[in-house]
Amino acid sequence: MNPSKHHHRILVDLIRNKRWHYLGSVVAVAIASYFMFLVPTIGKVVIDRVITDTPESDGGFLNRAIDWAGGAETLSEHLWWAGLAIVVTTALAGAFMYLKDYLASRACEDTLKDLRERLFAHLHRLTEGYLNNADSGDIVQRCTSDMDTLRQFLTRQVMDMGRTVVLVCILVPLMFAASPVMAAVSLFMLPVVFVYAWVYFGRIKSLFQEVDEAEGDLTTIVQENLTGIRVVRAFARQEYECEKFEQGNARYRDLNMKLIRMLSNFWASSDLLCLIQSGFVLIGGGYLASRGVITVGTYFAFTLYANMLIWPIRQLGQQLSEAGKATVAIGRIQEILDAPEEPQSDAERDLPDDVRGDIAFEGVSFGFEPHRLVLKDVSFKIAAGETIAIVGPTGAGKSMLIQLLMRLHDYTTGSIRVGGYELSSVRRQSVRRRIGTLLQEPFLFSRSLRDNIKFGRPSASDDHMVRSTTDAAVHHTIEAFQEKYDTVIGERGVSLSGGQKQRVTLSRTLLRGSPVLVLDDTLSAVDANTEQQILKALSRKAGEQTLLIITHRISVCRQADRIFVMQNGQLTEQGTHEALHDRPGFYRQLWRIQSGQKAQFEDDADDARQEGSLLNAT
Amino acid sequence: MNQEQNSTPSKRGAWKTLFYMVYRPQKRVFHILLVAALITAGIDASFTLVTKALVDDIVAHGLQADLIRYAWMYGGLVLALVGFIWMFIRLAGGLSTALMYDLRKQSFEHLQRLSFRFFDNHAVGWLLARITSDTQRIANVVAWGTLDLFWGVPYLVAIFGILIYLDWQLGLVVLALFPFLAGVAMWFNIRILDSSRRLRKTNSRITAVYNESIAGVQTSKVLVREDENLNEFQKDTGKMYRQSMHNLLLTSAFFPFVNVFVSIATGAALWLGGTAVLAGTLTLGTLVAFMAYARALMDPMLEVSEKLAELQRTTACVERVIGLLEVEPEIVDSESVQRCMDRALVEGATTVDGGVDEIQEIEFRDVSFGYKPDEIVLRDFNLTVPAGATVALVGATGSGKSTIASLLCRFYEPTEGQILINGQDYRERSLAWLQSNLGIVLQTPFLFSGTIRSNIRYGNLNASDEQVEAAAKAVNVHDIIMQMEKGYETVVQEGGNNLSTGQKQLISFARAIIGNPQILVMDEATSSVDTQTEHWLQESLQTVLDGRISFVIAHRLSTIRSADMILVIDAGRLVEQGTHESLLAERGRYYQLYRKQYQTESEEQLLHSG
Repeated sequence: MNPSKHHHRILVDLIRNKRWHYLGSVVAVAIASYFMFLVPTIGKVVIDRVITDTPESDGGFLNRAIDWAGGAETLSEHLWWAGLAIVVTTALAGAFMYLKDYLASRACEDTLKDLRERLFAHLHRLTEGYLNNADSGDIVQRCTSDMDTLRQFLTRQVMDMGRTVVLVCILVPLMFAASPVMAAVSLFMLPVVFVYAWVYFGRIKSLFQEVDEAEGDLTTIVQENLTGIRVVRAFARQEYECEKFEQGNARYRDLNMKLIRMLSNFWASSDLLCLIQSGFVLIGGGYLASRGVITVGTYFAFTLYANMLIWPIRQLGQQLSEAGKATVAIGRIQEILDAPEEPQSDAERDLPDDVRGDIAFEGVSFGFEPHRLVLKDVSFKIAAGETIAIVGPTGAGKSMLIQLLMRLHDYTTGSIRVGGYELSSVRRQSVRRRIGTLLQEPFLFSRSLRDNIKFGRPSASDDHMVRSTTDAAVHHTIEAFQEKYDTVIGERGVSLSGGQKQRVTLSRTLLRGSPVLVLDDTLSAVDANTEQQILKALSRKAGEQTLLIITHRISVCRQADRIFVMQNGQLTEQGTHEALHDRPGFYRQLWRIQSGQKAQFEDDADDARQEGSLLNAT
Repeated sequence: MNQEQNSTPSKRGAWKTLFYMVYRPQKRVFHILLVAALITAGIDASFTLVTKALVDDIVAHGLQADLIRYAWMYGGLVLALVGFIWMFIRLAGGLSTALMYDLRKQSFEHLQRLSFRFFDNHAVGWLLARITSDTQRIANVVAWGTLDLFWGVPYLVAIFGILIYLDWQLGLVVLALFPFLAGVAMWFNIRILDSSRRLRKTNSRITAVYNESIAGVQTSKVLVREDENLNEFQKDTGKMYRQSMHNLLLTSAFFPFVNVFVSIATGAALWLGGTAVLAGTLTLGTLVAFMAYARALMDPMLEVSEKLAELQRTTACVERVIGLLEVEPEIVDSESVQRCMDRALVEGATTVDGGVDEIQEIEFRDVSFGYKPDEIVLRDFNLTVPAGATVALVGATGSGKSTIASLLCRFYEPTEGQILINGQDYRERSLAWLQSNLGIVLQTPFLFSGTIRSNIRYGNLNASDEQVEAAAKAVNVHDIIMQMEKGYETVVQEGGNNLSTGQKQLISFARAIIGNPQILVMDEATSSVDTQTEHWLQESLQTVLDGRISFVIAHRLSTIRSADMILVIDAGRLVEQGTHESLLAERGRYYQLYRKQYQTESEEQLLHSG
């Protein structure tokens, strides 16, 4: 497929959906154009029939209407009819113009709303792989500022351009019908002005861009200065910063001035072209009228017709050359929409509501690149209701285990079963509904605590919510806030400590209730006592809820039924605390560090120094 | 006096201040603009008079009409008009550009003088908007508003004058319609501006939602919130839809409305004027002129009402910018220090304020401090540091360690007590002298966009390339930089996203020492530095700390142990002080902190080596 065509697919689709609106607005603007044409025509007819009493050869419907109403005599006695006709016609032209705007705005805004929502939904379906590698700032920029460009383009440029084109199509034939000579006199400059504007703006496009960039650079200078104000002051670099700003400020000023000079040249010269057109109508028309080739009324009407076209045409040229910006924006939006979504097949089923929480991994390997596996042939079985602690160094693949379990990534080798169901044949949403997970980085939205806790289950009652916050040992903390559960957190509200965030996210997951609960190093910032309190609350469900805890704390491991040690993508040790802490290996090392007795303290340090592995400075 | 608080000058006050600020330096441009606008208005008003005379001539004389004369008149007017248009676009555009430049320069330079307390209370985004968009709006409104008012009002007056002169009765009829027209235009303009503002607000709300959604997308997926999120988002897009429609429809209703009013004027002219022509009391040319003038009223009236509405709605911007400029800096050199500096400049002294350059001793004497008057974060702090000593500050987050460093750097001044350098209150020395003798490494390293070389050189603008490299070698970052494709010319992107935190930390370390500062302040970063970088950092630390007074907010055992003086800070008080050995022997707070940190570091070692 042609790539540029491909790029605008989205726009073509969206416009096609609204084709009746667009068609309607074209019809409306055509009718409005006709009424706009009628207004000077009324003046013309009055001047010809009543005031100068020129015999009218052509039988336009206005003339026939006058004849029907009693001829020029009657009209001259009731000249207010003509005045009223002008007002009514203008009002009708305005009404149809408004109708056109209404239809076109509806169509544009519907299109934009659709597109915004489509982008938003799409963002939620992007694969983890894509999201991890993507620059989220860039994605947001495409969804917002490129959308703004598109909005400007659709609601202003397209609407104006469409209007001008229809206006030309309606007015030009009518003018030729009224007087071919005068039409030629009053239209010959149109193509010149159009091409002039189009070419001129095409040529200064790069200057516009330079000005934009200079302004962007200036903004960056200010932003960096303000963000790095401590560094500026620390080195007493205020003067240097002022100089740097001065450079950016002066550069922007000079470029802007250059642009203004270019624009002043354009506006003055194009005004000249347009006014020459009017001059030709005025003088040339006067000549024709004095020769009797056209009537005085026709002369009068054409001085107005000419002005109705020339100025919009100039704008059309400018807008056409600026349309390129929108094309780029549309392409960038399309690229986001083309990014891969999590695949979904119709063959996938939902897990039953009463699914059991037993988990089985069998020969699971996984890696983003074939030769760099994150998980290597991992197999284990966890019975429903068991509590498992997973320990291991950073990068051992612990989190990947969880991500596969949540179907955030798709495993390709081996098998993962939950409650006996092969995960790859279960709908992602259904898996996520049945497995409650706390991710490593606690993320809260900037809304009230209540809304955050009920985020995964908006229908939950407040009682239920308090039960989950009590289990997560955060209820009292929340009650101590002035606004309690209505406290808004985030940028515009209270900022929580790391431990508080972790406990709130825990209560959010607990509120959902699920046969499997996974904590990915989620209590690291919570102090030991509180952690014990939470574990005690969680242990009430032991036997019915399978609990997986990724942790570094021996105190947590001791309470687990079994401990898994992961190293380099493999399961290297498993067993109870009693079994593992006697065996040489990672677990014993960790246990020794954490259970270090006061008396051992200095000795250990000496040992470490000798080995040269734990501390590298003396 | 406005002590770093944002003042809110009265509306007229802000405009008045602004007026004097912008009018004085640009007096000449304003005056030329005024004259040019007046002449342009005159030319604009004369066009229709030519048409009138031409029509009358044709009706009266037919073929004998001297069309060439009219062609000359018309041509002359066109050329004059185009010339003036050309001129005043340049003048007004130049004025607006100059104003923007001045306002931005003044605001930026003013911000450089304000103290940290001000920046604590004002978000970067807020300040940025003042310097960039507010100044732009003000400059545009002042320059183009002035032009349009100077042009529009005389133009309107001229049209009225001509109408009354041509036929005063008919003139009055058109004139009577004008107040309605102006009222409608004002009504629409104000509403359109307000509706645009609401629209912008909703638009930024949508941006915020996108930002948050993408940041929390994993959370939403895991909690299966996709559908609810979309439902919520639809409320925002729905609002955007309604507001945008409202805005578009207001705009599109505006013109037809004005047009109908104008057509009432032209219709009346046709009716009454036509009747008068038939009665022989009015010429056809005058009738045509009347209808043309009735239409011509529209342009200046629309421009004037638009600019008046904008002017009214820009008041808030003006208040904010003027308010910012009126904030007085809190920490400045006292008058006596300034006198010393002037003298030092004349005498060519070695230091900027003529004082002693070498720092022998720093003393904190009964220092208390609070960011807010009622919240004391540091209480009765006493400390004497001799030359060359390394002081390690340890304690929990929020205990007041960073405050001590900030006070030393004179980012804030003690609420009570004194900080003495060589026995002299540091407020008797100049800020520039103290701060040019400081080297600071912050916990979260901040680099400017530019090359790595220019970032290191920020610490000593006169440093040669060799000195830059020597500094980099001293902190073990030279090899890392050389491994990069472009070496020292590697461009640091905005926010430094192309470098790891560890690399940025090392570069900012090099930046701190290149000026060979007498005092080094370091806020050690434990998190986000990988083991390898940490190793390098530690190795270089000893050489760097040597021979200067160093204040280190320390987390790492190695740094703490090697310090000459260890201070344990808790809740704003100094609770323990001594050397590593003496404090360990005490088995107090330090012992516990040390033990915990020891465990953490051993654990980290195990977890990261695997």
